Amino acid sequence: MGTRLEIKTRLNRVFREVFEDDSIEIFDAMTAKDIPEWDSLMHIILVVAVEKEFIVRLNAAEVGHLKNVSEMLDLLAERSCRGKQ
Amino acid sequence: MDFFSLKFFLYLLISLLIFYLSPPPYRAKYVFPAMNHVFLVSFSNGWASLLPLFIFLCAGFIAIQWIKKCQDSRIFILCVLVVTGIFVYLKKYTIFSFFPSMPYFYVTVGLSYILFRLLQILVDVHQGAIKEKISGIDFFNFTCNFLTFVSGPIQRYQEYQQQKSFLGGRVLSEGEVVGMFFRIIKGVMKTIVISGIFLNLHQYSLSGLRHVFESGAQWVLCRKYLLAALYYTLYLYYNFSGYMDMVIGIGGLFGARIPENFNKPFEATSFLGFWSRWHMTLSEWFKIYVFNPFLSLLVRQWDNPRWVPYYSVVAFFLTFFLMGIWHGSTAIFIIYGLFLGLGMSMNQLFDIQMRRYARVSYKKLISYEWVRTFSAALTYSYFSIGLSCLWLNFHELSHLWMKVKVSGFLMAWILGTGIISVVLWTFKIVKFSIRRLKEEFQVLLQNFYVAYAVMALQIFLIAVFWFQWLCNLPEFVYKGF
Repeated sequence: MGTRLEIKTRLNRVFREVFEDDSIEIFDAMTAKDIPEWDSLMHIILVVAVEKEFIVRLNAAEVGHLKNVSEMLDLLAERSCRGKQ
Repeated sequence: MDFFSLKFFLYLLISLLIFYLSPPPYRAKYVFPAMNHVFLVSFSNGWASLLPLFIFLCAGFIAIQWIKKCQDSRIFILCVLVVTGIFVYLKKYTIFSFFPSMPYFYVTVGLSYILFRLLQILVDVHQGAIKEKISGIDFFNFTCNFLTFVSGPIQRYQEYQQQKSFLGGRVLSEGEVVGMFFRIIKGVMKTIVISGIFLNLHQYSLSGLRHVFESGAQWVLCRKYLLAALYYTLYLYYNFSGYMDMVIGIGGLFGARIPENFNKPFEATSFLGFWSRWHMTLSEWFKIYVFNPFLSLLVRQWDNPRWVPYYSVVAFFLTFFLMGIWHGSTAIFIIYGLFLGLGMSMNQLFDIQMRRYARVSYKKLISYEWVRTFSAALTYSYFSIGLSCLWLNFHELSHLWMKVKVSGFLMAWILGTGIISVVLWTFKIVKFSIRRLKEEFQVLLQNFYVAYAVMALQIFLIAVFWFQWLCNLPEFVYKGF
């Protein structure tokens, strides 16, 4: 999946596509409060888009407890390491 | 064991003493399970009355081990069905009344909450979110934790495991202990005094409603019904949130961190927002284990951008319909589920349409204080009408429906919205006017002697109301669910 920076770049692209906003620049502490359109529906659309982009499947607990972008990056980085092993 | 009993008070006192006199490593390992065991046994009248609950727990524990060992989706589904089936059977759901039930008394208190904890573990073990081995003691402590046994809150197994180290593992500061006592007193005050007052008002209004049930005109029935409904909502809120204050405070004395379950729900400006403030742990559970997976399934299957927003309308309906029917085992809770599902899905549909066709003006509109107040009142009024399913039986509700018809309920909703709008608006004006006074009052409350004087006053009020309502002491409403 790549380094954390690569993952962040790809994740940023997913965010821009999902929220249809090219000005979005994700940051570690970013939460749903930072994007007005990020509601429960958009959260799921985002998760499904992330799953497609990174070819992973997040479980219910992970989807429900992602607090910010940093946790999402950590999760994707962890899956990347697990994939390589 | 009732929370408002000398028995519970003694139980708590002895438990605290034994807990803190024991060496720290033994507290979570031996003392806490023993406390849970004693609490559980206090609801029984012999071993036989605990047997069904024991079988339910054993079935759940075996299911967890089986799912972990096999990692097979079919086995997972089978286990979920079996566990849910046992629950439905033990709760005596009326739709399965043709099935012979056990002909003796057995303990069902806390069963609904155990089901949530059990299903959470089953899903998380199946999906790999819980990897560690779950021991019998951990399983028992988590599912039958005396702090959350009767009416929740619904804690996740992972959070429970995280806080295990807190359980008597550190020395509480004097400030923390005092804070916990304040929280407990606040809880008792809310449950005995405030919810007691609203319970009496509700019962008075309800007897007035029943008095004119047969002969009353539509308008009279609507007015009396509405009053009973509005009072019941306040009664339920103070009863349940007071209970939560007590549980959080008592848990804190043992070093446990119990999650919050309420966050000023009547300030919510939509039905969607209301459920992120009311019975938060239940809403969170349904969001994670029903709403999200169901919505993900729809989005993955039919990724049509035009229809995707409407999937959430369907997902909200299903989620809240299930949440509604969880509240009870009789047919009236199907109506409650439909009512909740309809409220959530209509709210979401409205939100989607407004965002799509009038995004800017909608955003501007909801920023006005009067619109926010009106929306909060609309939400409160709708919720109050829905709660009728908790205090009217099926026969009474259908009779009322025949008498006042849809127009009567709509009239009650509109009238309720009007009354609550005025009340909320008045509160806001008073709050704004005394803002400065409130700040000074807060500073004053931080004063040691004033804080204790306020607590003493609360204890005095509790004592007065306790003796006043000795025969009609408010019970925990959610104990029955």
